[in-house]
Amino acid sequence: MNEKEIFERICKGDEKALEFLYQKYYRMMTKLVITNSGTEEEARDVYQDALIVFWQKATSGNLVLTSKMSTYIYSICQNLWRKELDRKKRLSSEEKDTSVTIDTESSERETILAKCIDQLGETCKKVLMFYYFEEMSMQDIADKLGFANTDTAKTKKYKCKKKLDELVKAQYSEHDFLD
Amino acid sequence: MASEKDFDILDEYAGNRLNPQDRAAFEQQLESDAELKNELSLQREIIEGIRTARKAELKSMLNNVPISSLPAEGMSTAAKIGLWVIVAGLVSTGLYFYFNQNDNTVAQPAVTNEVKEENTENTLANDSNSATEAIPQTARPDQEAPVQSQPKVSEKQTTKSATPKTDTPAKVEEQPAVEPSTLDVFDPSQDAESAEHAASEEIGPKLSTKSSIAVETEVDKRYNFHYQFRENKLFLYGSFEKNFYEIMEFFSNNKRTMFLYYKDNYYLLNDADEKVKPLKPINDAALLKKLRDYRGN
Repeated sequence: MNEKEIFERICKGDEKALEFLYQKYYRMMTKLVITNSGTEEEARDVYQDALIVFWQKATSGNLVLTSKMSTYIYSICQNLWRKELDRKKRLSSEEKDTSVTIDTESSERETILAKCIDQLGETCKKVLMFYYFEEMSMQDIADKLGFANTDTAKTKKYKCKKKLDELVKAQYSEHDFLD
Repeated sequence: MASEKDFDILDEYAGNRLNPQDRAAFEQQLESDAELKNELSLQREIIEGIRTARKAELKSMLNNVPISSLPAEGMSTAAKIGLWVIVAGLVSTGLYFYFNQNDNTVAQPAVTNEVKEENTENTLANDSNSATEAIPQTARPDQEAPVQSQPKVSEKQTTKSATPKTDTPAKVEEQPAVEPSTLDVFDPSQDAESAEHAASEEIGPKLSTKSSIAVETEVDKRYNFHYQFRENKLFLYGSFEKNFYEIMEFFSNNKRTMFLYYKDNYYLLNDADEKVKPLKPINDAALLKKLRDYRGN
């Protein structure tokens, strides 16, 4: 696969191309973090996050590459690692006195949300993820999930989202999270 | 009061799908509509939840991509040559053992694209435990493990055959990958039952050393993560191109049990009939443990 082909496949949401890219630049990208006071684990984490940012931009059609993919991803890694270093620095110099109550509630809401998403069928999950995370077109979603046409994809997305909304609202009101 | 249409627009707004003009107009409307504002904040939270879940899924997918096999970038040329010599040596050893395995009484796991068929009379027990139990038994001399294959794995397999258990796990390994599986709850007993039928119905008496099951991957829009036994072949439907997958084959008491390993999940392959079946991950903890032990992960 050449650079152009990989990029095109990634734009289409081809996960195999993403895996290929991940392997291809693994050493190069993780080295950046490791040689800048990061551990192997942090390096992998940063590289994965960077690649996912790249993936998300590419699949949503919001990315026009003006450089090589590796250059672009490398710059995301740099930014992410810089941010992480800043965060660490702040943590060590600041006192942590954030409101525990707020953290608890928001993490509880996150847990509920994750459980609700988990309750959806696999196709539903995929449709919603492709729509809201990858921001794929309905045509791409239909192609990827084998739907007959974009109308089917739209209907599916609508129903799945409605189902998720209902699940979340029911759970939130049970926990008094809704106004 | 907000209408149904407003909520549709709100969904597009929260999903970043409005064009700049509509976006501006909607933001203006939001200013004067408290109900819509509340709903927006909830929708943002839900959508964020979906994004977080997807991100976690992608990270987990990337975590399963084999990296260690790649030569380190800073490695010297001499070290690289050394590495390849070792790999070549291991492959040769693997092939040697493979071609000489007729003499072995204990079948050895092998990595392969072909999986030998067995003359099986029967049968897995009725639940998942039976499948589990099937594993640790001694393989029969005529139940040889499959064939040749990709270097990386044969090395691994050869090592594994030294384990105390004397089975015949056969592995298929190919490159390419599959989409993250999308599977529903697995019912081990169901699958074990069908596996039982499989063993009893399908395979007629054949030359155990010659018959084989080839594995093919196919993309079919109707099936995103399925499998099928047809024409003496195992077909895997889905995007199985680039990642590794493995077929593990166990023999005991004249019955064969096959599993697919893919992206950290194990799937029971029921060869009872030629129907296309969805791949469902095995959830049974005891069986999983056995399989992991065998695979060495």
